[in-house]
Amino acid sequence: MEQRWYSIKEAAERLGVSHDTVSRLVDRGELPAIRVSKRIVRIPVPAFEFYVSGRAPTYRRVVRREVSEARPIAPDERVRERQPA
Amino acid sequence: MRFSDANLDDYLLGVANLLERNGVALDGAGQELEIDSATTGARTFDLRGFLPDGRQPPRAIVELRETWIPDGSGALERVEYVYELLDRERDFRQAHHLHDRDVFVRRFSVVVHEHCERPIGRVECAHYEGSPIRDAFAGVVALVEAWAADPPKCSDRRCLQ
Repeated sequence: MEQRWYSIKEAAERLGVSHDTVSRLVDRGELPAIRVSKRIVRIPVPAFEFYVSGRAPTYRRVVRREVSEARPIAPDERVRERQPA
Repeated sequence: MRFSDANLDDYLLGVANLLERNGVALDGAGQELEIDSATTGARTFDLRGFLPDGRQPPRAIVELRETWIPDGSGALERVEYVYELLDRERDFRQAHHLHDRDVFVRRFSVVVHEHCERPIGRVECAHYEGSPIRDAFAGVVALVEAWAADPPKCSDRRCLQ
């Protein structure tokens, strides 16, 4: 099972920067993180990898699709299992 | 939470942005995100993605779906949501739901509920007590947090009955 999150210390080691630098990235919201408590922060590995990649989020726009009726959320609604498009 | 149509567009773009920054590969989302607009004025959107990235088969699926309706004053109000994580690798489902408000208030005196399955498909309780999720941004955080944490122990939760 692959590791799913890094501590601030682990992220700092991987980035080759200080603990404080990573803390600042988290505080500024540049590096998404989960605040478990005041002192404990977990950085999800996929978020860390996206940050390290240097990629910017995809530019997107919203389009409206006219439908006759909104599909209500069913009592047994659950995530669809189909494969990625 | 009340929005104009323009606010709703910005909100959806922001949520997609947050998902991507968390390393979620959005499903089928090129550059366009769709909002279904019904003749009744209702708006719905559905964002779906994969963690830890787009590899196949997906190890975990996240889905965020919301319904907004006109509140009578020209604004849109969020009335339903589904925020779901299906973690195939660790074999559990975590879901936060708001729908059929009147039914849940009448039966359980609650507005929102959660689903928890571990392993996926084992339903020990149809609906668990849950906490309201402020918006889809908080929904993303809750799902990513659930993905990163140890698998849930469903039996520790309070079953609504």
